[in-house]
Amino acid sequence: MNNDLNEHELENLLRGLAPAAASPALRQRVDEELKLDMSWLSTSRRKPQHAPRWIVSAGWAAMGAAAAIAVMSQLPQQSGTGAAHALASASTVLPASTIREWDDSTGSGIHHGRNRQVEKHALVISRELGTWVDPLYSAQTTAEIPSKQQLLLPVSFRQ
Amino acid sequence: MEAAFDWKRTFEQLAPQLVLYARQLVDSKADAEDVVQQAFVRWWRRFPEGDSSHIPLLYAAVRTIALDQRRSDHRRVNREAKSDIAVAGEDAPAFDPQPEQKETAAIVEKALQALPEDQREVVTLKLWGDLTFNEIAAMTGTSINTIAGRYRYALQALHKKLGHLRADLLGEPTSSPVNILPFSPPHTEALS
Repeated sequence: MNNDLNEHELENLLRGLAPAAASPALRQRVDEELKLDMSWLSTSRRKPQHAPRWIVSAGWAAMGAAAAIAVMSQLPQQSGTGAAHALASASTVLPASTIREWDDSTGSGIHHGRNRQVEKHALVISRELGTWVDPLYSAQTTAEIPSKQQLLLPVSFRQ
Repeated sequence: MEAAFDWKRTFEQLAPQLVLYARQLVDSKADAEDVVQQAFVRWWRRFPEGDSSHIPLLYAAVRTIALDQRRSDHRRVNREAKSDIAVAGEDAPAFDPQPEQKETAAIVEKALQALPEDQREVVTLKLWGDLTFNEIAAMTGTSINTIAGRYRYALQALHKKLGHLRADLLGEPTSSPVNILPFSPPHTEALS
């Protein structure tokens, strides 16, 4: 009788051995690193049609922070007045990421404006996704604001 | 927000195989875990849906980072000092065997280490990473025939070390079975 493993049995034998689990430290490090930049949270819900994305102005972040403060104020309050707690929350809520996903854009050619300036009109349909975190409570919130903007782009020609 | 925690489930499923693969490319399990950390974070940020069709890209990221790390002198020397959670030791076993698999696991681990690196890589990706020859060929930039050849040579080498285990592992009767029962075993004819 041939007691040797054939190839199929050998493969099954090897596959039957489970690789050792990763250390708890690895999972913790991945967790910490993913928390550093949570922009993937918004991309996990919907993939943009076009790749361009950019960090928008601090004004948008400030607007988001205000929204986040409103959400965080709903958290259980430990002590003090509501106003004092909201103030404390305000100091801990941080904008984690802001992404603008450009869904579509259409151009309407070149026009002459009132002051004879050459302009190009473009309609941009986009979606702004903002994420804020509160390290104090390990809380986070994400808001999605669709927008439709008519852009007026000045055009110049070389003489 | 459920999506925030989906990565943990994916990580639990993939991390052991990824660390095993990375260990074939770097010196220690600690280095392998560094590689897997970077690769997984990079991959998850790119594919947060955790789609299984993108898993070959995760292995490709492990490979790229491991090879970069090997070329680089940088090491996270303070990792243990910074973490209060146990870090995998340099001599941590590669497998987590059932009690009856311990001997096999030890032999396989040694046999894998004795293989040339290119064969070890293919056999790890194929058997534990569950990648196809096509996917392995694509991620290593090698022809599928070469990959299949490496796999065949690796299996032949492993067979030399493991072939004798057949009777123990598959439970087949030996040529002269020893009766350890306090009575004679019943004849099959008598039962029918």
